[in-house]
Amino acid sequence: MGLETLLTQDLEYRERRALENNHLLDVSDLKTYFFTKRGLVRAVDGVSFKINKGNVFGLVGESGCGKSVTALSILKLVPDPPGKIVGGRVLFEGEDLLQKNEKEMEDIRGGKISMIFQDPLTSLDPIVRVGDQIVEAIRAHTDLNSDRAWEKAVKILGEVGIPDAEVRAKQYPFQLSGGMRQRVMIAIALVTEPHLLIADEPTTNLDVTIQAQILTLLKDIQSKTNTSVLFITHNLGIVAWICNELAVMYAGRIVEYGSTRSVFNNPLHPYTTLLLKAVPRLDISKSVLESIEGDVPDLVNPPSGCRFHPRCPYAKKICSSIEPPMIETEEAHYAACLIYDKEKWGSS
Amino acid sequence: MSRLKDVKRLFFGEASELSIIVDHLKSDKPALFGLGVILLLVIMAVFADVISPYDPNAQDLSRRLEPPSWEHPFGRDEFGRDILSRIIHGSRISLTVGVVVISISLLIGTALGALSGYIGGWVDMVIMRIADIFLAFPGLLLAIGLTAVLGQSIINVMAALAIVNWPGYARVIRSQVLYIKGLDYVEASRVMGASNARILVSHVLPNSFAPIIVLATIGMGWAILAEAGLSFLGLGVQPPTPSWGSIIATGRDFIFRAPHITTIPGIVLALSILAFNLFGDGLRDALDPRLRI
Amino acid sequence: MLRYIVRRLLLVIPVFIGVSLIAFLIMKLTPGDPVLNVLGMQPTSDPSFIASMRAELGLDDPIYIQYGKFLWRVLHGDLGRSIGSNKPVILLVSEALPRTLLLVVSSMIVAIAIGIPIGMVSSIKQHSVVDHATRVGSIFAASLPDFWLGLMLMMIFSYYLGLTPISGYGRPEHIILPAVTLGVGLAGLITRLTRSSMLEVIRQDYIRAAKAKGMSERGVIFKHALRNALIPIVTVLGLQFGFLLAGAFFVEWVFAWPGIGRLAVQAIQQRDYPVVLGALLVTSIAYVVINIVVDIIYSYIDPRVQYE
Repeated sequence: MGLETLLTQDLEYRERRALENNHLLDVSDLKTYFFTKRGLVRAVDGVSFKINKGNVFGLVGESGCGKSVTALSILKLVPDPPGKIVGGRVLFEGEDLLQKNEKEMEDIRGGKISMIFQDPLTSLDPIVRVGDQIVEAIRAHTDLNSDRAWEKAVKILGEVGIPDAEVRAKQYPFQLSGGMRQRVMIAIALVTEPHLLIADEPTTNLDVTIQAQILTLLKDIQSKTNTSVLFITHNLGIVAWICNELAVMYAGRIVEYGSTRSVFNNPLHPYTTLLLKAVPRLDISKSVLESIEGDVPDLVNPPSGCRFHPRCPYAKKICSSIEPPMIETEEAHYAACLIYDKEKWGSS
Repeated sequence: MSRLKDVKRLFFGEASELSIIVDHLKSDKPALFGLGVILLLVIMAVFADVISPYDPNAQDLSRRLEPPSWEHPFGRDEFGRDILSRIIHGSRISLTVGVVVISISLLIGTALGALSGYIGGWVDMVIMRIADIFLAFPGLLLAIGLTAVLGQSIINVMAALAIVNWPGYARVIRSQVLYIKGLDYVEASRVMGASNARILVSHVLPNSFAPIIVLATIGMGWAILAEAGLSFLGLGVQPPTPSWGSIIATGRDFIFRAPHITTIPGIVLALSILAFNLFGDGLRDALDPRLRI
Repeated sequence: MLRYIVRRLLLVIPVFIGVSLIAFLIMKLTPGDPVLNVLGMQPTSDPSFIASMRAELGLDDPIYIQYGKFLWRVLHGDLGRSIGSNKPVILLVSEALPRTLLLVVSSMIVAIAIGIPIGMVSSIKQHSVVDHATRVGSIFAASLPDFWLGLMLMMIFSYYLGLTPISGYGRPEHIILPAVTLGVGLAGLITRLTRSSMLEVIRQDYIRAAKAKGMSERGVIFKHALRNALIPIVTVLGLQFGFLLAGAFFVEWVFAWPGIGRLAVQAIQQRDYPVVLGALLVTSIAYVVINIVVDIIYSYIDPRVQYE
């Protein structure tokens, strides 16, 4: 991941920031809770971010931090029971999705907003032909008849890099390899030319070499079609490569937010710093692989104040009593940490 | 309430599996209903002679086919016999058949299943093939065929039903044995000298308990149904022994004149089978570890 | 597809051999002298005639030759003659079997028509009143003894309400009560199975992914959920044909439906062993063939099976 790449992305990013009010997606204070037997799980507890047209926005965090639930909440696909979106606003192209009824959401899902999932094997119906599954997406949003829809399906299979598309379209998911299945999912998502693509850990379950192929495919498609992408992952390497803006999530909240370049060059939040340090690297020799102490927090009884404070090496007493707000430390680079509130930090 | 918990803890230990199971069952009303009916049946069967208002075989031809009345709540049959008493004694037959059949199948099934699992090889293959055939083929048909060959009596019915029923248990025991065989700590205890029998008793049996008891409970329901059916066809008990099935059979000839003869024993039979099924179903839910979060 | 069908059909052969072997052994084990059984004579008859009969029936041959001859006869359709009526068993059986199959298939249809919709509704409205009622109701239905149920329905609908004929065979109305009687028990099972299968399927990722495509709730349920949920149901259906077949014996008896069940039971009561044997043999074969047909239907729903 050369410096040049990062610089170029940064430039593009700054250009886009100039068109400041062109938000495609504007999430503010989203709260999604799960009402379970064990208690109330605050999976997403006040998350806000904005995605501009043409941006690739990364949502980063460890498992269980709420990033997938955030994505599902945008499309209102959270399983209910036991989950419920209890607060916030999700503005998509100016309209609040949380106010829309089911029928309107059906229009948007797979149409203007598409989603691809982590496990391509279980996300495809095992007993329906691959081509038919693409056709379903087509016919849910256009008026094409079945023959034309089939043609289109075969065409897009070719475009996502599947050789022999005619033959493959008639096959079942179990007859394709993992990488091909993921391409099929991408095909299903993109055939309707969505404005926003939500990718929930699309490469996590794939072999490393295939990962690279899929990521390249996504990047190519993105630059060709200028589709906005919400890219969810726990892999910082991927974020560095494909995203121009990112938000780091921890225990249901966003702790850092900014352009890829600024976050990687100057990580503000202690959690981000530790995350970066924990990534094994070949270019810098390290004698000890650093890990983050402590356990992932219990979302039924989260720590008071700043949720990271039990594991934070810099924590002070004030951290357990006040929830830190997002503080703009550099230009367009925010962190939710009291270190950057000089007043409060100094006095404690 | 907390005292009850203390007592439970005393008997069953901390955070006991058993108490979780019992709690689950307590909230399962249909299962409790089933258990209640089962207990009622047991009492009926054991104390039949005491509870019966009349001798089940006492005939009174002048009063045949009488409908239910105060003296004879279930009416009289075609020989003037009191149906209530016959039903009470019939419970003896049904429960006896059930218990005997299940016990024998359990014994055979456990023995063969354990043998199959331990020895493995072609013994295992042969036993399992036979079990598969039995499991695949409708048991009742086999039982009918067997009674046809062996002759029509209640003993033969029990034998036939037991022969049909053992494979289910054999399968369960066998898979437990195979699982236990593969566990490391079993290898270790074997090295230390524990005999096979000991391993069987202390590991295989307790772990198989759950699926076996569910199978056995539902199996009781099936055995009762099967016995009634075979007796209905005349292949089981011979007159004048009062099996619920045979009462229904004879009542069939008078179904339009005296419907109570067929209707009432049938209701009792249906309730009994239902009871075992409901309880077995409740047991299955209570023992299912997936529901215990 | 064809290869799969052929593969399955080939399985009939070993099963047929197995079943015929068992039938043969049963025949040999039947108490009583087979000659006397076949001839229906008293033991005091002419001994030399019996001896020649014995030789003619091949009873002095080694057992495997007897089996071979038996198999040969069976394959040629010679199942002996009924002791009671002296009619060829094969004739009686081939008349009776289709009627039983008609009954069994009809009851299967009844069971599916009732069971699947209720099961589906129950799964969609989990934990509701409908769901709990369904759970108890389906166990209740499955616990009812079919011979008794048949009698009850006969009493209510034929006698008191006069809606259906009491028993017999010939007109379409005759099949209603028998089919419903036999089907109700199975309906209970299918309801429960459909419910649990649907619940399992609805949790799957591909359902969520289908919704994310923008498909309507109805589309997702019918095109994806139901089809996948049917897989374990169809699996069980094959086994259930066995129970239906067994139940048919009773229902035919109650409603005087002239199928194989009635034939067999009558034969057992009259100790007409050739008929009993023939009926059981044919029933077993029918059971196996039905299972194969079910397997083939199954492979339509779940194409993965063909490639194993």
